Amino acid sequence: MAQMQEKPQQGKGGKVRVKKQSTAVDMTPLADLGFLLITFFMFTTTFSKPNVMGLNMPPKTPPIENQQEPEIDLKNSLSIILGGDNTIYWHQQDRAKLTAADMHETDYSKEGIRNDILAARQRATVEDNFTVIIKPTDDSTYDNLVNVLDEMEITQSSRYGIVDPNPLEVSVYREVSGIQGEGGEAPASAPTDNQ
Amino acid sequence: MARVKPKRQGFHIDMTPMSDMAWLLLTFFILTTQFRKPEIVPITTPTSVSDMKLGDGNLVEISINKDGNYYFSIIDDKDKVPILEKMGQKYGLTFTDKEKQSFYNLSEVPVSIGQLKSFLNLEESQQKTQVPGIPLDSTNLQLMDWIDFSYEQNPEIKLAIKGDVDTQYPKFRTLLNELVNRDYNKFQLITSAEEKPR
Repeated sequence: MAQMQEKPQQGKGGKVRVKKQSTAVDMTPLADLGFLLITFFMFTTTFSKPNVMGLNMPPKTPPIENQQEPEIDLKNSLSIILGGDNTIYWHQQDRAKLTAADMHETDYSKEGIRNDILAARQRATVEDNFTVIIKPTDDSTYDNLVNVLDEMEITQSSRYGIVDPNPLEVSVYREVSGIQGEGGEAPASAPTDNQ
Repeated sequence: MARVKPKRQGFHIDMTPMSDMAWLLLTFFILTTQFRKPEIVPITTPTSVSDMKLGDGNLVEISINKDGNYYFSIIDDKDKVPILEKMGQKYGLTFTDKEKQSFYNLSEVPVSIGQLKSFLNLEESQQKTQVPGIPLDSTNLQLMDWIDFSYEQNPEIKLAIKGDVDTQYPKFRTLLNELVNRDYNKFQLITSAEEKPR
């Protein structure tokens, strides 16, 4: 502790001197406490910030009259359909020719959809053009969408889009999954499929 | 001959400057930290591997809770009252200073503009029980008005969307469609951190 020099009493019945004590206080605990509190504040401020993921949607464009449907190589695209009860399906079929046999069920695990995306990219004719089309049905949750967007980031698929499933896809999905939507109605808004 | 031993001395460093500095930094951190206002609506965000952090200012946040109700928060405190006044102008409402102060202390706008006045006059403990959300459907696009006025107030503003894990997708789609209809195309989805694989 602080320095205290004790000097032997000088006897001989002289005046009793008041011992001089140094007033130096040990500042170490104070500095400790200060730094501890700083650390606490730094952690609670910078680490409590939530993470964000960017999402850019294409701007709304008026429909072009008499537009020719572009020829699409089906191998270059992968449609992922998000169903209810955390189910997930994918297919690589043309939207007009989709049947229940084309729907492949998978799951949100590492071995599930992630491998399917990577495998589909391997199969693609032109790997740079490989596009993932995410189609969340009315039964899916926001969590499902974020999970799939996360997979896009993990698999480094830079080309992806979120569109509504078209009626055929919804009916095939209902047939495969056996999940009936509320009242079994068609999707609320018109599908803006960009295939 | 005996060797001359160096005299042992107590080793003392004066800690005063160090503790001074520590406390100075501490004061600085405390003063610059913005304390988060208590949230009225609890929302569990989904996890993602994204390591981007949410910015500090120039931000408005749209929250969707698990029942599909929409809420709107203005993060910059200084923008709150001007945006409220603009909303009031559009809907023909004027707010007293007390109501503005109460609005300033809110973390999010939890009711429609029609109910806002009576909501602001409630006691804080009562406020938590009455949070029906801001209407957003084909007949009433009030949430979009809040966003439009926020842009008018601060054109630099960014849109953050905070959804609950259990939010049904159609609710999110409605919001997304309305935003895209008004040419808001860039969003930030708020998530909590998750470890990146590999």
